[in-house]
Amino acid sequence: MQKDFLALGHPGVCMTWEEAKAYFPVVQGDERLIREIWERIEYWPWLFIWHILLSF
Amino acid sequence: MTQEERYQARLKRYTTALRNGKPDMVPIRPFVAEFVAKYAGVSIQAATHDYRVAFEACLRCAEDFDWDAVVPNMIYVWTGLVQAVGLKYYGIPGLDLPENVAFQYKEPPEEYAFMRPDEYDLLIADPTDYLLNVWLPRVSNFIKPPLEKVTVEHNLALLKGGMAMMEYFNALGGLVQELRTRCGTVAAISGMLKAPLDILADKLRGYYGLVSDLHARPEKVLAACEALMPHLFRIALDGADPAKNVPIAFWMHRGCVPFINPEHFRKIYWPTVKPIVEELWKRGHQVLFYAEGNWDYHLEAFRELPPGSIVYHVDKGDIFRIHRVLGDRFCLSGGLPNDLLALGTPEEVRAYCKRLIDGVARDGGYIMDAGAIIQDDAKIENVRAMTEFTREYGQY
Repeated sequence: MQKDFLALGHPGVCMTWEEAKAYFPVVQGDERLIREIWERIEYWPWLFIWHILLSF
Repeated sequence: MTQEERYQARLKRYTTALRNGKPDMVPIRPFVAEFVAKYAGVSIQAATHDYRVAFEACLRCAEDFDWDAVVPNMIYVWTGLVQAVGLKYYGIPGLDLPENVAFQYKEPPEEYAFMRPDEYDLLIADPTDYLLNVWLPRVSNFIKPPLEKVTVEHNLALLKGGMAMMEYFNALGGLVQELRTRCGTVAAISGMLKAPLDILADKLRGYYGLVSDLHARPEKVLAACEALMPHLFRIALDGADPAKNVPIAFWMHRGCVPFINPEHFRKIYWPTVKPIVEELWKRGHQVLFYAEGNWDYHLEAFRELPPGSIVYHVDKGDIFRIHRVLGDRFCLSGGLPNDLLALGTPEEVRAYCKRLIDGVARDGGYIMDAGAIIQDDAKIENVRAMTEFTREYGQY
């Protein structure tokens, strides 16, 4: 039986927000916003390393 | 006719054929690589190391040849970025190679493969972490692994590499736009896909390492391919055409018989490619199978894919047989031998184009192109003959 590949791993980030939270144990405001921006910027190193592998 | 009207007419022609339909004439979409440097009269070093030179050469070809679509910069490795990151695996024109030799990939011997055979579990557990912290320091002359003392070169390589990649991808977007406004030419592809097994062979274990692993630890190879799938899917999806007009290019390397055996194709290669293609198609994206070499052994497997979901590009396969097997389901492209463009005469090129159009394009669903990317060995008069003959003879 083929695994559902879309459920594997965490494509799009190098460090997940769950891992990153260790560095920010207290979030006083809107954690959803902090997480969203974290993941948006995390995307760039993920894109970099995968494109070094695939394109360069 | 304005450039925008020309663009719209070409887009309609190209996309009609991509969907296996019959446009007004056979579309022409050559994957021109170092040929553009030759045509523009610039060195290969200049076009490879300064992408702005390659872009201008690409635009000049698109202006001068009546092509419906081209790849925005088929000289796909910007070696300025390669040098900034200190990547060891390319020979750079003008640096490691003479200035008029195309960039070369240097695969290390099996014992020096960038990924070691006992590292599969690390790769499987977290491919991104493995690439960033183990693989990248190994393939770069500058970047250090975690816990090793960082250097000025390390810091600069990461900063320069990341920012250079941003610069390049942003500039590619500008090229796509300029092809449209200045030349009325369609960007032929958007986004890219590679097979998990090819990734292992290309830059991780090397081909020899991979085939050893296929026999010694096939379960690890399969698990590694499965771990790569979501990332390769995401890269393909994120680069895809938002308008869903042009396909994602799937660059097929060494996943076919006889590079691997039929069982490995059936049990590892295909089950880790097919679901990605199906998922992309569910989201409305076609995939262009750029079947480098000869994949004729696997045509029945490709028939399993939904009709219209792929475009099948022919390099050294038997295009007439491929048309019989796949032509009712998928558009075909290519099939014009590159050695004919390099060594033949314009008369021979015209005659071969006639064979192709008569043999596979009568009902539409065919796009004229060479079998492989067109490099600087192609004669300009032969590329011109391909273009002009197809325009004249390829009318429906």
